[in-house]
This record gives sequence, structure tokens and C-alpha cells, in this order.
Amino acid sequence: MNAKKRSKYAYFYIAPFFIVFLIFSLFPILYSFVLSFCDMDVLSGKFTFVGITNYKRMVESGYFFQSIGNTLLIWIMSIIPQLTIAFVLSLILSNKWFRGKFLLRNIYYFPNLVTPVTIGLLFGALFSYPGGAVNNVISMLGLEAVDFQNNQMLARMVIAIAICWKNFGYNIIYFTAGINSISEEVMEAAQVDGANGWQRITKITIPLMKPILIYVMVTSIIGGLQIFDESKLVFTSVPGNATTTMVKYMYDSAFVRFQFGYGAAVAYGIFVIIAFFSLVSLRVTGDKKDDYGKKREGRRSKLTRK
Amino acid sequence: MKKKLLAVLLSAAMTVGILAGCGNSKTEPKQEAPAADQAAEPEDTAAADQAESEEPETQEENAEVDPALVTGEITYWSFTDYANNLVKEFNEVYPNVTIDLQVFGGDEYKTKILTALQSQDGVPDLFDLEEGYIYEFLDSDLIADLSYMNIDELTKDYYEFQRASMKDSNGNFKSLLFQSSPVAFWYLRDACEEWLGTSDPDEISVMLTDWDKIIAKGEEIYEKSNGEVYLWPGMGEMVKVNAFSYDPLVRDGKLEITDDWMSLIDNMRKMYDSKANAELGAWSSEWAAAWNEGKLLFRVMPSWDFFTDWETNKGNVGVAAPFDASYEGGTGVCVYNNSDKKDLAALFLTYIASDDFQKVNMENYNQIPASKPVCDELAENFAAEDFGGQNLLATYSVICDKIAGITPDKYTRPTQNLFSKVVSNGIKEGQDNDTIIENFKKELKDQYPEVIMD
Amino acid sequence: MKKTLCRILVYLFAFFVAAAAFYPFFVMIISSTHDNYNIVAKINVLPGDKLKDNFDRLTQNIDLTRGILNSLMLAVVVTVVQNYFTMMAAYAFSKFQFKGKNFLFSVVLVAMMLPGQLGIIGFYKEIQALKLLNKYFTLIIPTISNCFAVFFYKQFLDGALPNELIEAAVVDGCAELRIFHRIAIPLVIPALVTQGVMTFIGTWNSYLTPLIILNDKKKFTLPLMIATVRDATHADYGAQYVGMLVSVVPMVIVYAFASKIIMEKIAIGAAVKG
Repeated sequence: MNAKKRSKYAYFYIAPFFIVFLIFSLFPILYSFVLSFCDMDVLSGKFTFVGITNYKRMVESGYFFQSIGNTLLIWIMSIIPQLTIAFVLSLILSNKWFRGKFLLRNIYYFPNLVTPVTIGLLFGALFSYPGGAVNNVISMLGLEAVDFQNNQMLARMVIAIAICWKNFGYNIIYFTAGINSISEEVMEAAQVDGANGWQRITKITIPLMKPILIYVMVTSIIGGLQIFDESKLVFTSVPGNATTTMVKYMYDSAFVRFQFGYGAAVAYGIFVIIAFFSLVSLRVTGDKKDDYGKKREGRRSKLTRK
Repeated sequence: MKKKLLAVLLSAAMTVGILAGCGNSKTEPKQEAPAADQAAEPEDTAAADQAESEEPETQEENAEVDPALVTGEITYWSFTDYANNLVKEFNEVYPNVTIDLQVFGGDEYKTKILTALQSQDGVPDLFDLEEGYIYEFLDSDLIADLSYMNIDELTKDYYEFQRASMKDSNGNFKSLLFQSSPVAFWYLRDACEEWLGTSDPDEISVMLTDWDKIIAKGEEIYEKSNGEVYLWPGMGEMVKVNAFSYDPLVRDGKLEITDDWMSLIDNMRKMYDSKANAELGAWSSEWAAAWNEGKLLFRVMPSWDFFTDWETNKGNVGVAAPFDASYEGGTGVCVYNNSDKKDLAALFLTYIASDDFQKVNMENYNQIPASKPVCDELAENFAAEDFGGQNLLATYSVICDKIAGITPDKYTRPTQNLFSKVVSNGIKEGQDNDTIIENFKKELKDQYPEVIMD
Repeated sequence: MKKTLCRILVYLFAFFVAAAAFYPFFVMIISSTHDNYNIVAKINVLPGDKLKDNFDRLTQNIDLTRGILNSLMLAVVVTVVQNYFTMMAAYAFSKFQFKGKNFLFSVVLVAMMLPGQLGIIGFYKEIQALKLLNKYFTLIIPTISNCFAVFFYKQFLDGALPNELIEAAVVDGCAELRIFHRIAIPLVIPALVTQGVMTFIGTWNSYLTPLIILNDKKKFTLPLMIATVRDATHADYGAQYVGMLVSVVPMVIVYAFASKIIMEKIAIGAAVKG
């Protein structure tokens, strides 16, 4: 009863967001949808309806599918170390005995403040052949210098390292926000009950952080599959276009070759891929209801029934 | 009830959005076409009819009227900081014309100018376009045909390739390229003295007249230096040297890979297999360092550069003409066709096309003139201190004279780059010519499906 | 004993990662003092003497102070406006049952999945049709529709704001907006600061939208000004690095303050919840 009466306020709360969304986000989205069925003249902006030609071209182009493969490979190579390192560091920084957390947390975020152009320059120089910093270290160890740029897998790996390095600090913030939202008393109670460090992490921290973990995971998929800057800027040319990601392919079509209709079609192709992986991940996490989730579900339904 | 209302609202908003999208697509061109026609026609006829009578008049005016009396304001967009110099010099002569210059740096400048032109809102009277994408733009009616300001006459002394590259695909002058950037071999004098036996640019040019000679010389140097010194930076640079001397890969929308290009593949493979080739990434740190330390003799560079260590190599740099001539990276200035200040735009372009400015541009900013007589005039007794007193302008004049006058189109530069990339990678992976060509065609087809291939 | 060893290892790991993270800053600082050749061709460890030259080339044609003020103003306003309204929407999604909730929330999720770059053409045409070009309004209001922020806040509110608390306030007859302002917002300040920092840094760095929207150099933001020393061919790395340093300093300060708040507010959220 109460909840029902209150529900009208919900529309008031979401109104500003959705009004702006309708006007400024939905319009461009629909515009590019229309565009994806057309060819656009570069300067006059004139549309010519071409039906599904652009989509057909995308499906028939081996290069688009190749870019999907590249994106997934780079994404997997970057996301696993990135989230692991970020989570471990967030746990470390949340320890009371740990000194210097303020300084370290700031330093960890530094890579995220660096512009893409610098990252491109930096990693290009670090991994260049034969005289880059990494190859200097390899030579010092008495091994042969490695030509990262001209090896498909290694080139992808360098891009993955750049992304991981850039984003782990960003994930630390979100993990920290999640860890900090866990009540001290719960932790203390667990300690009193004799739970060791590992048990506290797996039985309390992770389950209680679940909403934030889902957020980080979903945005990592959505953001991670839109890798672009590093792909564009770290290496200029890699054999077999091994580091060309989906968004890079779209960007080249639309903003280098000015084929905006095709670019729009590719954008929707990318959307389908991203939606697929996001839904899979939401489904996977949604199925595994832990105690905490159930309890909260229960609470909520009690609330709504009132 | 509310759900329905919301659904109605949502769908209404969506329909409006879609309609607006369609509306844009359909109405805009209709409105704009007549406008463009109206704008263009009178001028076209005026320009054609009065070409003889009017143009001398304006020139007389220019000669007689005190430049200080010319007033007005004009907007100008550029992607490069350098445009400030143009404005500065122009205002020395015309102090009362205000040029509102906005510099939009970075790669995305082209998106900026594109969106502005498409919506025809806030388009500047004048704007710069970079060689890399200018030919995507030039055919548009939104860019003024510069014959209204008698560009043909103004640039009659320009190098042939320079004039050719100012035109659109119909042969109309649509932009002004007021400086040239020819590609040459950059070398260190002491290193070439040691390994080639001379540091004289002409002798070097005579010594290396084709790829076989370069490869042979390079292998000889490699042996003599016990594998320390390479002559040639990498396969990709060979395309830079040859590309503008060959028939464009795509002409009139049709792909044709001539024998020249096929033999270039063979030469590239020969180079790769030889000991003359360092195969360092162009513009990489190793490449720059090797050259500055004398371990790489040549770099293939346009007339500007920031890879020279001037602190150690000041006065030690030389520039030699390659056996085939080409250019890289020019800037074209265009006039917006619907601008109501086309006369002022013409005044500005006339000034920067003039011999006076060409000279100032060389003397103050080290930019190679586009006009041959100016270049040759300045070349007399010219000596560049940083380049060991070499008469750079004489060398560049020779190169510019040799560049073929091909009008590029939107495929010219991208296909050259694609060729360079696919062939280099193919050779490294040991592919034969047929496979390489097949890969090239496949990738070209993906990028430009409209190109006709056999 | 085992504990001490363990802690030493933890410190080692933490500092090793910190060194890797600090590296680009080091490179930026050192590079800003070298000329272009040295930046491109060498791995520099010691500072050079070209800082002033680089700085002079950067500021030759731009009004740096103006750029900083413009960017600062814009970043602050966008941060406040965007986070207030997205928090509001998230609050509704998290704490209310209403018709169309699931549909609307899926819209938010779906909108996140479309690559943003291509929308720019449609966005520009719309802005032009609405006569909103060259206005800060266009750089501020549309940022309200940040779906990532709504999603984040919803997830956070789900975990950190107990329904009972709201419930109790409603029973006490507290006005709706008052509940939002006095109960919900104070409880999620760590989240607000977290996301706020992201917004601030994102706005401070944003380049493409201001580039497309702004035509008047008096309104240029810092990234637009710094970009004038870089273009496709004549990249001036020395001046660019100085520009990056200038633009990074305010972000480091803001982030340092924010991370302190993120850490210190733990107690408040936890106490109320417990």
C-alpha cells in the first residue's frame, strides 16, 4: 500500500535522467541506426538508402570477424590480470596494519590520468625492437631481443599489458568503495567466531561486495570490448592486422575512410557482440544466489508487500 | 495506466527522433542544392564572363589601394599552429583585416570540419585541410572553385605537381598549397664521407640511381663495417620514393597494378633479403638513434623533421635527391563556397600565394616555396648552416621539378600506404607475389568495396 | 615470524606495482625537459634543460590560464549536475517498485553497450538544429544521461542503503525529497565521491565533444588548447609533455583529496548500517 503510493515518486526521480537521455542519447543512437541502412555523402551529409548492404558487407568482410577475435584475445589477456591485481591490492590497502595506503592508492591511479597519446608513445618505445627498454632488459638477461610488433600474439599481449596497466587503479577505486561499504562489526564478529583471513575474504568480503563486483565485471566487459586508443596508438602496423579491434575497425571505416553508413552498421554489430557477452555474464552471476542475496530478496519482497 | 502513458511517450519520442533523422536526410539536401546553385551560378558566369576584364582590375586595385585601408573580418580554421605565422605575415601587409584564427589540433580536426560543413552552421570562411584526407573533401560544392580569384594566373609559376595537387577530380582548382614538401634522402655528412666516399649531395644522387645500385652499395658497406652500418632504413621507405612516379594504383575508381608496382615488390624483397636493409620501423626510436649515430646512412624524409639530434649533428646533415621524386604531407587552404566574405578570402589567398609571401615563408619559417622562380631565385647563394652550408633550395628545386604532376584522389595516398603495409608484411612472412597481390586486393576490397577490380 | 615475512612480501608486491604505475609520470616529467629528438630516440633518465623552451612553445599561441579556468569550471559543474541526477535515477531504481522499472533499467544497460564514437555525427546535427552549438550548456546537460553512473549507483545503493532505513523514515512521515537528501545521499558519500572523481577526470580530459561543439577559442578547454601543439605531421612532443604535466596536476590534487574521503567515510556508512 505504502510502497504503491510511494511509487509515483520514482517517476519524479528518474524523470531528469530519462528526459535528457531521450533527447541527447537516444536521438544519436536512432540516427546512427537509420544511417546504418544508408550511404552518406561525406560533405553534403546526403543519405542514400541502400537497404541491408552495409550489414551484408560487414558479415561478408572477414576483417570484421577477425577484429572480434582480436578484441576477445586482447580483452582476456588484459582483464584477468587487471581484475586480479586490482582486487588483491584493494584487499591489501584495506588492511589496518598497512602503512602508506594513501600514497600508494594515489600512485596506483596515476596511469589512468595519462592521455592515450602518451600511452601510445610510451608503450611503443618500451616494447620497440631491438632497442626498447624491455628488450634492453631481455638482452641483459642474455636472451635474444624480441620483435614484439611483428609477432601477432606478442603484439596483442603488449596492447593487453598497456590496458591492464592503465585500468587496474580505476578498478581499485570501485573495489575499495565496495569493501568500505562492508560493516566493521560484521568483520569483527567473524573474527570473534574464529574465521581466518582467507575465510573472511571468501565468506564475507566477496559475497557482500557482490553488487559492486557485478558492476565492475559488466563495465569491464562493456568497456573492455570497446578497446580503441591503445589499438590505434601503440603499434602503427602489425602483421595480419592482429591488433585491430572492433572499435578500431569501425573508427577506420567511419572517420578515416568516411564511410559513415558502414561505420554505423559496424557499430551495431559491435553492440550485438557486447550485448551477448554482457547478458551471459549477468545470467551467470544472477544464477548463483548466495545467502546474502536471498536474504535481501526476501527483505525486499516483504517491504513491497506492506 | 502509467505504463501505457510512458509507452506512448516513449514511442512518440522515438518516432519524432526517427522522423527527424529522415527529415534531415531528405530535406536538407533539397534546401541546400538550390542555395548552392544560386550561389555558384552568378559567380561562375561572372568569373567566366568577366575573367579578363575583372581580374586585372582587382590586381590594379591591389597595386593602387593602400593595403592599410582594407578592412574586414574573416574566420579561418586550421589544424596546425603554423597557421599563426600566415596570419601574422598577412597582417604586416594588411593591418586592418582581422583574421579570427582557430587552431583545432589533433587527429579529430577533420571530424570537426566535416560536421560543420555537413550542417553548414558556423563554417569558417577559410580552412586548412591536410594532404592525407583533402581529396575526400575537394569534390564538394561546399568548397569554392578558386577560379573566382584567378588562381590559375596566381599559381602559374608553381611546380607542376603542386598545381596538380590543388585540383579536384574534375580538374578545378579547389585549394591552395602554398608550400611544397618534397621527399629526400637525409644523411650525415661524416658518415657518408666514411662509407660512400663523398658527402656531396649531387655525387650521392649520381651514385645511387636505382634499387640494384643501392642494394649493392649497401651490402658493400655492411661488409666493410663488419655489420655495423646499414645504408637503407626499411622496405616501407622504398614505396615512399617510388610511389608518385608510378601510375596511381587506383584511377577513376579502378584498380590497376602496373608492372612498375610489381617490380617494386621484387625490389622490396631483394632489399629485405640483402644486407643493405636495417628494417627499422619508420619514425621509431631505434631508427632515429641509428641514423644520428651514423649506423644508418639514409632516412627518407619530407622537408620537415624532428628526428635529427641537432645538438650533435648541427652542420653535419645533408639532403640528397632520390632517383625518383615524391612528396609527403602538404596543407591545402580552402574557401567555403557559401561564405559571404569570399573577396576577403581571396585577398588572403592572393597574399599567401604571392612571391613576396613565398620568400618570407622560406626566410622566416624554412618552408620550401611552391613557386619555381621563387625557389630558384632564393637558391642563388643560398646556404643552410645546419646542413653544412648545403644549398638546400637548389636540391629541393631539382626534386620538385621531377615530381610527376599527378592529381591525387582519395585513393592515392591510402592505397600507397596499404601497398606498403601488405607487401612489407607479406615479404616478411615469405609470401610470393601472387599471394601478396591477393591479400592487397582483399584488404582494399574491404576498405573500399566500390573500387573495380578485375 | 610467519606474519612478518608475509607482510614484507605484501609490501614488496605493493611497491613493485606502485613503481610500474609511477613510471609514466616519471617519463612525462623527464620528457618535458628534453627536446623532441631526445624524447623520440632515447630513454631518458635524467632531466634535460629544455623545459623553458618547451613551455614557451606551448604557450606561444594559447592562453593557458583561461584554458585551466574554463576546464575547471566545466568539470566542477558537470560533476555536480551529473552525479546529482544520476544518483536520483539510481535511487528510484534501487529503492522503488514501479511499473516499467525493469524495461527502463534494461534501456540503461543496453545504452551502455553501444560504442559512443559514432553517435557524434547525429549528436552534432541535433545540437545544431537546436541552436546549441558553441555553448557550455551542450557540454553540461547531456552528461546527465550517463548510464554507467546510474548503474554504479544502483549497484551501490542495493548493497549499502538498507531498505529498513527508508521504510522507517517513511513511517515517520518524512518527505520524499528529504529522505533522498538527508538519508540516502549521506549514506552513499563514498560512492558519490568515487563516481564524482571519475566524472571530474573524464570531463577534465574530454576532448572530442568540446572539439566538435566549441568554435570560440575563448571558450576552449585545456585539452583543446594543448592539442594545438599536436597534429598529424608536426607533433611537438616536448611541448605536448609540458601540456600534459600542466593538465595532470589539478587531477592529481583532486584525486588525492577524493581518495582521502573515500577512505575516511568508511566508518559513517558502516556505523549506520550496523
